[in-house]
Amino acid sequence: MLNNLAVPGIVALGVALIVIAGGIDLSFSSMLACCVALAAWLQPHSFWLALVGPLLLGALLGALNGLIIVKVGANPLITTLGTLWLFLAVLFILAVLYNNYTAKHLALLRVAKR
Amino acid sequence: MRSHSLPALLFRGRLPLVIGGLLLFMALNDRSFFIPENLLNIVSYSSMNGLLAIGMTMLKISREFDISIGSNLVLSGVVGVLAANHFGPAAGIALGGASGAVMGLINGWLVAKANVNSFIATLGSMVIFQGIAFALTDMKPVACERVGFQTLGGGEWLGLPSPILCFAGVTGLIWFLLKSTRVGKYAYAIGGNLRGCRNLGIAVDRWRIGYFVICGLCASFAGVILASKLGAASATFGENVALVVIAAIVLGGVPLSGGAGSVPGVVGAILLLGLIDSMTIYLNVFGYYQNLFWALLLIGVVVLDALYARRVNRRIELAELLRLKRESQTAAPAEVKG
Repeated sequence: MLNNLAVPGIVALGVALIVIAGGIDLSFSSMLACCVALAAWLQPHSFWLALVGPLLLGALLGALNGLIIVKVGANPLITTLGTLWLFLAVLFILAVLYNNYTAKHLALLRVAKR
Repeated sequence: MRSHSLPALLFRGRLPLVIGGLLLFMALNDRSFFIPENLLNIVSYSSMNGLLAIGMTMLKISREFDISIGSNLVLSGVVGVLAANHFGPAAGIALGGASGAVMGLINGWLVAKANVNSFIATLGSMVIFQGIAFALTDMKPVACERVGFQTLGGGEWLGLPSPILCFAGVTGLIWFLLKSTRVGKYAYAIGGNLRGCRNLGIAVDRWRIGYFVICGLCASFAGVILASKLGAASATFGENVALVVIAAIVLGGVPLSGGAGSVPGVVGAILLLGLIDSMTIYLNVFGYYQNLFWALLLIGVVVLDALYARRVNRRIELAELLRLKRESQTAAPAEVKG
């Protein structure tokens, strides 16, 4: 049981920091997904790269949230709701591009070329 | 504050601009998008989210929100179908609607009387309502056996599908309530200054519970219509609905801090959501581009909102400074004379 709780626990520790500071972050699940994908992608190349890369990516995505919320003064709930969808959408689109799921799904590119 | 500078105009006209841009894009790409059936379909499809969003608009103006509406929709649909099977169609509609009011009452009591933060309170009740729906249906979809129940969601009048008519009716009612009755005025007042309203002797708690009940009623109405349209209810509908609805309300111009906002903006945002959905289908685009677009739009609006608020604040501060300076200038000579 503790083993299953390790991942949510680590995420919760990070979110706890934000909530203590008076903010909120809904986008952690998408960030988690992005980092998992990056780790899986880097894993065949090098173990250490797969360890450090996702950490850096997570820091980067968190910094993006932080910049929008603190520097611009936007509402944290809505901003992280937006980035929740943004990160997930970018991840899925990149995954589809990477796996080369036939150009049929990428009609937007065709429209852009026309 | 009404100003006519370019950023202010862009900010106020953002919804028509985006909708117009998207329609222009479709006009250049695919004319068949504009056949009446498709346009009607977009509105009909949007009216579920629309009912939820309109109910929550008033709640949001009074500075609370309810993320349990997805579960509310599910549970009231299940209650409606079960009641229709046992006691007849009319009882199904009535009991389904009443269950939403009860759920709103529970949320309202938690927030207004027990002083729980509305995010946490409704997060909890969301799980509870979903659990009850699962328990009632044994985790299987329940089919509706009475034909009469399905006339609510599947009927037509003057060529318009009944979900659109229900959406239009509820929108008109809430718009009227907000514009010209005490219910709406108090929502703006409570959202603007809760403590001030309490000091004025308004029964603040009762009104706030009332707004939760209205929100719950709208959600259950949407749930009953959805169940009767599909002829079945399942406990697995309505995930993530609340987030979409909150996003639409913010896009529609109701600030998260409450106290402002209007119905037409929210209706525009809901139609924009339906438009984007339909466009991705027409353009045969990978579905996640829709999420990407929606996310960028949302972040854009929040950033624009924050920048605009900062600009207005700075202008108010400047005016205040100027006033102080003028006062000190006019006051200073008098002191010298005296």
